[in-house]
Parts: sequence; C-alpha cells; structure tokens
Amino acid sequence: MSITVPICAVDKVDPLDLLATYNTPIIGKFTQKKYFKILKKPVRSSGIFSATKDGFNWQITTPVPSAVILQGENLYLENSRGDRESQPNAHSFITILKAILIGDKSTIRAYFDVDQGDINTCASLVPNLALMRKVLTRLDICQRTDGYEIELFDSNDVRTIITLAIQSDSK
Amino acid sequence: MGRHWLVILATLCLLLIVSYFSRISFNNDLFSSLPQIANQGKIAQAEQIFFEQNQSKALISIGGENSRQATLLLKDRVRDFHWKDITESQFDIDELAGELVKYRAGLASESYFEHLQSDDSFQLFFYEKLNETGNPFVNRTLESDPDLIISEYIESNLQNLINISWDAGVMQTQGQLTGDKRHWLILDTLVASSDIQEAIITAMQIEELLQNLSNDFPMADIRYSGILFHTAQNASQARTEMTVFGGASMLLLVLLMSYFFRKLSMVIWIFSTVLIAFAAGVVMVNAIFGHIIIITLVFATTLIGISMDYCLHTLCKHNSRNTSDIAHQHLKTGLVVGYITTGLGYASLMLTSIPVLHQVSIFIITGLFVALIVSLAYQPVASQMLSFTLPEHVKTRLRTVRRYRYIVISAVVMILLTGIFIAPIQFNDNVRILTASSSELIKNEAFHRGLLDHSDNQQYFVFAKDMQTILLNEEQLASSLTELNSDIHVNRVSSWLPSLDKQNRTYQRLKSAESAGVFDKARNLFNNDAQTFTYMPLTPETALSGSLNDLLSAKVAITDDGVISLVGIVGSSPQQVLAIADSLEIEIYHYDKAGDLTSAFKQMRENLLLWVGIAIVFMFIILAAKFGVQMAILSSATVALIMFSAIYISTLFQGALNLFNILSAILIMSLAIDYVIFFHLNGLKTHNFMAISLSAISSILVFGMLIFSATPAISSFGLTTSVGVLFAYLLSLLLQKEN
Repeated sequence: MSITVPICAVDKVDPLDLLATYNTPIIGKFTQKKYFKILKKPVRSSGIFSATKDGFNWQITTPVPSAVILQGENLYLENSRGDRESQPNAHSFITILKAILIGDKSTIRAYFDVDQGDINTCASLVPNLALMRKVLTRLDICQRTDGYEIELFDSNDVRTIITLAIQSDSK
Repeated sequence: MGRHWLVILATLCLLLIVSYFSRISFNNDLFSSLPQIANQGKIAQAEQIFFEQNQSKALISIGGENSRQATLLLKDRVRDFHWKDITESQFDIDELAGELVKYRAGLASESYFEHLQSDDSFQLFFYEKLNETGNPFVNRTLESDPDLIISEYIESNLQNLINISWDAGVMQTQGQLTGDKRHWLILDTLVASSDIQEAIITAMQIEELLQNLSNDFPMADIRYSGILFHTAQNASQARTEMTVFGGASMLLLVLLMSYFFRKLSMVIWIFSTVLIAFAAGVVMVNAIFGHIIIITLVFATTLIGISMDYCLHTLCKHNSRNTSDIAHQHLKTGLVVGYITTGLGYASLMLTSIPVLHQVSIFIITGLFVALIVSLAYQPVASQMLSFTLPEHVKTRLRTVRRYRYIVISAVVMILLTGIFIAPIQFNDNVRILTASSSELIKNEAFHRGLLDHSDNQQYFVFAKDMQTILLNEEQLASSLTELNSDIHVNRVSSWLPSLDKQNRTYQRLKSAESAGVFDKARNLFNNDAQTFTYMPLTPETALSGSLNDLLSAKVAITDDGVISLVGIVGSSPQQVLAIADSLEIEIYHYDKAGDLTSAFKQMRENLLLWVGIAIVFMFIILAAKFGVQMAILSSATVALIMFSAIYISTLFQGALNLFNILSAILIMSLAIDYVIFFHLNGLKTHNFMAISLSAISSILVFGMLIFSATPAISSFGLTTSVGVLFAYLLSLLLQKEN
C-alpha cells in the first residue's frame, strides 16, 4: 500500500524577511574584523554609525579615526586628518550597508541574487554581475538579537566580519 | 542602327570595362562627408584616427527607476552578440590590478608620496586603507603589493575620470545640476566604417534590444547615441531618398516625354542617354576617389534633369522644320556653350573643402559630357512628335514681354530691395545641416555629452616622434598647468602610463623611503618577509597589449610619422594651454571639431559669394566674345538677378540660409545661362520654346524632389535650385531673340 501525499503550493519565504524595520535614525556601534591570510593578525576596527532614509554616517573610531559619509547621492571619505573628499567609487558597499539597516530590499536585489543562508536566520547574497563576483564572491547576513552580523567572502581569500549592534532607541 | 545608338553602346562597353577594373564601392562614413578643415596632413590624420576609433561605438544610458537592474539585463542580453562591452573591460579590477602590481615600483601616484613622511604616517595610511569597508583594490593587491602602491594608483586614476564612477562594476554618471544617476553600457560593435549594411543591421538590433528593455522596465529612461546610429540613419535615409527621388523623377519624366514624343524609340533614347550619363558619373567618381559617398548620389539625381535638357534640345530641333546647317550649328553652339557654363558652375564646387561636393562636381561634369557626346551624335529619325505650335496671341504676349524687359527687371530689383529691407537675409552655418539624423538622436548626443564631459573640457592633439616623448610632453604640460592653478585637470595617457623617466624617478623616491625605514612598521605586520622594490618599468608595448589597452587605446595612436595623443583639459583656456605648450616646445593642436566646422562653413559661404562674383565676370567675358557686349551686359545682369531672387525667395520659405543655398545659386547661374543663350539664339520658335519649357519642367521636377529630403543641406539645395530654374525660365524670356 502506498500513501500519496498531495503536493501543495507553498509560498516561498523571502530570505530578506530577516531584515527588521527600525525607527530612523538608526544608530548603533560596529566592529569589523578583516582576515588576510598574509597578515599575522586580523585587522580590527570599530566605530559608530547612523542611518536615515537620505543619509548614512559610518565612522571608524579605532584604531585610526576616519569616516564615510553619504549625503543624498554624494559620498565622501574623511581621513584621520579630517580632510574630506568625494569618493564616488566607494559608493556601492556603503549603499548596501545602509540598505540592510533600513530594510531596503529592492536596493539589495539590485546588486545581489538573494538566497537562504545555511541557517534560517541568515541570507546569502551573491553579486548579480559576473565582474563583481571576481572581487566579492558572497555576502552573508545573519540576524542577531541586537542587530546583524555580515560576512564578506572575497575572491582573494580575504574574509571580513562586521557586527552591527543597533541601539535600543531605534527598535 | 543609328549613329547615336552606336555611341551609347560604345560608351556602355567602355564603362563596363572601367568598372570591371575599379570595383565600385559605396561609403557612408560621415567623416568623409564633412569639410576637411585641417591643412596639415597630420592633424587631418589625427582627426581620422580618433574618429574611426569611435565610429563603431554605441553609448547607452539608463536612468529612472530600476536603472541598475535594467542595465544588468541589457548586459546579459548583449552577450548573444559579438559586441564588446567596453565598460566591463575597463573596470576589470582583478585583471587590471593583477597586471599592474608587477610594475609597482615605478607607478606610485603623487598622492601616495604624501604618506611617506615617516614610518608612523605610513602606518596610519596602511591601517586606514585596510580598514576601509569594501575596498576591492586593497584586498586584491595586498599580497603582491604590501605597500598598497597599486591600490592607491588605480583609485586616484579612477577618481580622475571626471563625472564617471562605478556602481559595483557598472559605469555610472550623476547629472551635474539634477544629481540624477544613470547607468551606462558602452559597446564596441566592431562594425567597419565601410560596411554600411552591417551598420544599419547592428543599429536595428540595438534599437530592438532597447525597445524590449523599455517594455520590461517601463519606468526606466533609456537613451542611446553614437556615430554608429548616425551612420545607419543617414545611410538608410540616403538610400531611401535616392530610390524615391530618383524613381519618382524618372517616372514623371517618362510620362512627360511619352506624352510629347510619341515614339517609343525616342523615349528609350532619352532615358538610355540619362542612364548612361549617370553610370559614367558613378564610374568616374569611383575611379578618382576610390569610393562613392552615398549622399553624393542624392545630389547626383539632379543629373537626370540636366542631361535630359541636351536630349530635349536635340530632339526638338530635329523635329522642327528648320533642319538647315545653320540651325544645326546653332544647336551645337548652344549645347557646347551650355555644357561649358554648367560644367564651370559645378567645377566651382571643387573650390569648397567638402569631399561630397567634390564627388558631385566630378559626377555631373562627367555625366553631362557623356550626355553631350550622345546628343551631338544624334541622327534624326522619323518621329511623331506631338504637333504643337504656340498660339499666335500667346506668342504676341510673350514678345511684348521683351519690350518691357527694363521695366520688369527694375520692378523685380525694387521688390527684392524692399523685401530685404523688411526681412533681411540671415545665415545658419551649423554643421548639423549635413546630417539627416533624427532630432531624438541629436538630442541624446547632446545629453550624453553633457553627462560624460565636463562643460569646460577642451581637447587637444599632442604630437611627437615617439611614445616616450609624448608621455614626457604630457607630464610637463600637466605639471606646468597645475603649478599655475591646482584646480586644472588634465586627462591624459601618461596618468595611467607614466614615461620611463617618471617611472625611474618614482622608483628612486620609493627606494630612498625604503632605506629610511618608512615601510618597516607596516611590513612587520606580515607573516613573511615583505617584498622589497624590484624595478620593472611598464612599457607602452606592454600597456597597449594588456588590460590597460581598453583605457588607453582611445587616447593614443601610433602612426608612420610618430605618435599622437588626445588630451582633455578642464579649467584652462585654449589660449593659456597653447601658450604654455609653445614655451615648452610641445607640438599641440586645439581640437574643436564643431566650432571649426561652423567657422569653416561660414568662411566657405563668404568665399563662395566672392566666387559667384568672379563667375559672373567670366560669364560676361564668354558671352561678350560670342554675342557682343550689349547682350553680355543684359544677360549677366539678368542671370545675377535670377540668382539673387532664388536666394531671397528661399529665405522666405526656409528662414536662415546656409552654404548650400549659395552653392545652388552657382548651379542656377549655369542653368539660367543655357536658357538665356537658347532664347537669344532661337527666340520663340516652337522647337526652342518647347525644348526650354520641357527642360525647365524636368529640372524643376527633379530639383523640386530634393526639397523633401530629410538632410537640410539637400533640401536647401533643392529649394533654391528649383525656385531659381523657375525664375530663369521666366526672366530669360525677356532676352528672347527679336522677331
């Protein structure tokens, strides 16, 4: 005797549903660890960030202060001496970080093909342009109790882990 | 078989032999239809080289909603074709960085040296760069370039591309005023400039792809431009016009001739003569120039009307009752003098610097010569020409006109002077009159130029005997300009490929920083002993054969005589740049094609007005020698009046006039003089009246067709000439032979 199980159409879950909606401005702290296999130690940095719909401020406080500031469509880099210069080519990654924080799924999909991560609370993003996959092979976003953990896999065996801790006022 | 048929057959055989040995080829390279403004061969050569490098490119920009996704989909779809995506090959960081690290000891940018003051300052820079989130250049090069020279080098050079940035591998621009972002795809379709059919097909394929993309992304604003589309649009327009205007002219003329000459063999003879004249024009132009510009054939359709005139005079004469030797002599004189004046008119087109007009000139002179020979060889055959006589009362009226010739001429002069006082003649010398490109394409072109080029960007050709001298010259020029004003920006080959001299100096500076221990603290962070500097210069040969080729090939060209580079300078006037280049003994040319062409058109137009004056004097001399001074004065004045009337009436229809209205005035002069001569020689005799009337009708029909051309230059030419022929017909009646 065999049992036939009816196949039902199941709504596919959007992996990006893990992105929460926060009140703007979204303020928080971050830590970043970059693993280069040729360096003795990982490169660590930390700082603060704030995101609104129109702007984003990513400020590294240690070990060397610097900042990336997105004002509308213009992006600036501020170095340790406080000099600020326009840097349009660094735009893309900052745009993605901002999109993750404000839950802007359409911007993320403009750059990545999105898939479910290894665990349910993660999403796996692969650049949708072959040219970019030569530089960044994958980006994983995982939900944490206080924010997200983002892991970047570089084609040159460079791994970057960014932890975003969002302040409770924004939740 | 009549003698004239033998002449036609012999000419046909000759043409077939010549065309067999010189294969006929057509060309719609827009560059060859533009005036050659540069006197020096090397400037013309530079123009040609850089024009050809761009002629197969298609520029596509997408703005509005989902512009990035639309661009990615388009990138995906164009992979089915054999086109090259230049934006992708220029931003292959992996390949570019991978290649440049080998030459790192000679390639440090000026901004890099700012961080080499001490080991602490360099360590600060090192940490700052390593901590930058998502910096692809550092990650890619750190292993082979632990001192971050190449990542800084690529970044600073990409920063120098004014207005252009890269949105995760997709080229992007931002509107200077609106801030609107657009994503780009620049394709090299690899279509050869001579392959018109391929250009038309490729342009259609791209347009279809963009139409489909527009359906998929209705909110995206998709625009395209590029020489390829201009070539395709102008070529298909010229082909259509040549077929429609040529076909319609032939059809109308067949009907007209069949009505008047009621014998099939005569109609066939007329059209055989016209066709063989046309074929002779094609063969001769191809033999002299090596190719035929398609737009030449649109102008050349006028040969149908003019060559037919010779047949008409011959046939009308042979159908008249007066077939005496004197009458034949009059016919011969009229035809030969007519050919000389018309030929001189067209020969004057050789005085311009527009290659199309040189071809038109050779085409018509050759075609008319063949028509003249065939007409002179004509042997009368029995015909049933339409029996037509001018009614006596009409003849009397027309003769009366002669009596009032001074009054009529004075009245026309008065009307014209009043008209000019009320609405003065204005001129438009814009080079756009030569193109039939759609207004949308012209609008897109200007829109794209506004996004890609700084509004203040001026371009220059730099010449030198070899590549190293060019690079040194560029570096000296850039350094002198930025010393004067640090805001001046020089976009040059040498910023990607420094001269060997500069690379050697860079290496010496890096070595001395290394000896001073500037890199030590940072190098201690590595697992292994970090590499010290090994100098290997980046040579032009390596750069132009590797991944830098796509970035550099559009800016530099190696010729038999040396090297030419294209330099863009923002923030400095051409006078300042030329003065500095002069003091540095750098051979440079300010390249402003649109501006140069407009002033060339203006100068040509002014020169042509002078030539019109000279041509009238020549005409006076020929007429005075043949028909006496009084007739010469009256004829010259009448012809001048006809030309001026045609020009003025054109301004009423067309608005501002251009070079081509003036060119047609020269042609009118040559046609009008034919009418004047024939009316003067033969008066209102039926055969003469009929021949001139049929000639005028056929010419007005053929030239009138051109008014409907989409190319303003052709349309202007057709308008002035057809109005001029009408005036020539009416006013030449004033000079009819006294009864």
